[in-house]
Amino acid sequence: MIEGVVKTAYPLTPEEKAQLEARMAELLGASVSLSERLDKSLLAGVSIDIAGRVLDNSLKGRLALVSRELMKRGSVPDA
Amino acid sequence: MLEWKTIGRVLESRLIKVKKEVDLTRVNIQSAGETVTSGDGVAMVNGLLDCVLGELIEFDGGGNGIVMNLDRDTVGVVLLNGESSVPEGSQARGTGRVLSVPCGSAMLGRVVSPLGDPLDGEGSFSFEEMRPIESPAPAILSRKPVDRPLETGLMSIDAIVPIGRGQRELIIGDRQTGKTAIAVDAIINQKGKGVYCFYVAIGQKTSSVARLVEQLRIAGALDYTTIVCSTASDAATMQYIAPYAGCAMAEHFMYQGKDTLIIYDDLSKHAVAYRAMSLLLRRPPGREAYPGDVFYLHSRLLERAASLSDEAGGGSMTALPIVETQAGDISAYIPTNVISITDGQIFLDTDMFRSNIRPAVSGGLSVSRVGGAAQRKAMRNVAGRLRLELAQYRELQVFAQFSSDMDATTRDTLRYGAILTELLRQKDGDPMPATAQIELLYAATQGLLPHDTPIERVQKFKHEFPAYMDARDPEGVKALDEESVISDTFAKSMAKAAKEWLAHSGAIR
Repeated sequence: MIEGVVKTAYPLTPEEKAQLEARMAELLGASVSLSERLDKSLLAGVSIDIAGRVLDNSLKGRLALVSRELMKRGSVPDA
Repeated sequence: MLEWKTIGRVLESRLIKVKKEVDLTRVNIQSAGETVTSGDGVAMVNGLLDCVLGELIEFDGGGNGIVMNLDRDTVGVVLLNGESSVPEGSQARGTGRVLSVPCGSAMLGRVVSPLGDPLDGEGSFSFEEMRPIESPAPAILSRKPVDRPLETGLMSIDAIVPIGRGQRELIIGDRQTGKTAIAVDAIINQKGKGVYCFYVAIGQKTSSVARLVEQLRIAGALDYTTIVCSTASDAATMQYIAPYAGCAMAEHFMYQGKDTLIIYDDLSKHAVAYRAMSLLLRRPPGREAYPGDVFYLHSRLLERAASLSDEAGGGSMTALPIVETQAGDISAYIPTNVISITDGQIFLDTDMFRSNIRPAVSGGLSVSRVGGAAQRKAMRNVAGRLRLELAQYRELQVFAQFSSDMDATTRDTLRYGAILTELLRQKDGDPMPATAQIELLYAATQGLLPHDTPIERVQKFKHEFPAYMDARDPEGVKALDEESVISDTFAKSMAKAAKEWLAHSGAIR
């Protein structure tokens, strides 16, 4: 049994959680138990912390990615 | 006024480009870990499965750090900022990237932190690329021998220990012997020569850096200079990465075929910062408590200075590292290390500095292992015997202190030595063009300036003769600058000018 944490901006329905657990079990090849944690700063989407990895599919993470790409060729903000 | 519409349009076009380049629908998978201990700028992290050495780590609270240690169960991370924002138990995520700094010509004339953030309050700047701070040194085949001079404008260096583009020449000496002054003069003298300069301040007082920036600004040297600044109040990590960051910024220009000059001021403080980091990471201390890899710390940095072959673009990076000694002890750990890495050293002598021979370049202990090949031919001709003659003078000077009874030859050698020493003295921030140096040395070594000339007149000669030549024979001076050989006609012209100047100047007295 592998334990993990699923972070969301809004509470998951029991079906959604079961779906996530099933999919993670499929990926990891072992049964998975996820505990829920609410984190408003994610804005939307989910972020799963399991087996030493973070699977980030949240809006916050995507925005961070976009901002990094925009900053690549352009300007750096003031210190 | 910028219109909102314009901003929106620019942003939209950039976002479209981002959308093309990165797949935003992909789930971002990062290795993650939990901070076990944190303090003194070092965090020990559990997990972080497949992180690599040097990887940038992000923490929950917004702090970030670099992986320095990979142990069985934990990863040692040195923090770059926000030590307080990395509490015990906070989540750490690997980014899969190494630390990179912005590079580009918009950074010239600016003061930046080792992370590339502006520190001079002049706002943000655009940059051309992000370069990782650690990168391999140019390979053997992409290098060529050092063959072009990098003139410092200081006669005592350009004549005796010449520096070539792509060379690494150490400036070493006790505190307060004019080490930084030499480096600054070298930067000032690059004006109009197409050399991009980088000054890396490591663990210095903020006031010293401010003074230096002002000095460069007044001399008009800031336009082609970037200052990478980590002061004594910055974390050891910042001081540790500063020279690598500066080097990356210089490499950006070097690989474009440009000539660059980088000054690391100073590497003793850099070694001390690295020692602090290493001890906090619990690496075993070695000699003088420095870790075992302190040699590699400096060798991998200085190996990145190079003179690139024409196939590789023909750029160059000249490095002038500075090392501070304690009571003139050049056989301490860090000085011997850096001496053995570099292509020569300029040793500054405390006694000479105190007896007002400045720059206090010691002729005996200073050496340039590759610069000779890069020296101008005319300079090599007039300065060839200078080192030997100065050494003879110093030797005799010691004996002459005991007796006033000397034979004529000895007296002549002493007078001649005094003239040479006087010629080599130079004020701060007053670099001399190569042609002026050659003219003066020619006059002194070829006997145009009689050995019994009083020192005050030698001083006057030093200040006036080059300008006198410029006015009398501008064509000849131009030819000397371009062809770098002393033609017979120019030699005659100098002899005549010297004679006239001496007669004329004598009349005034």
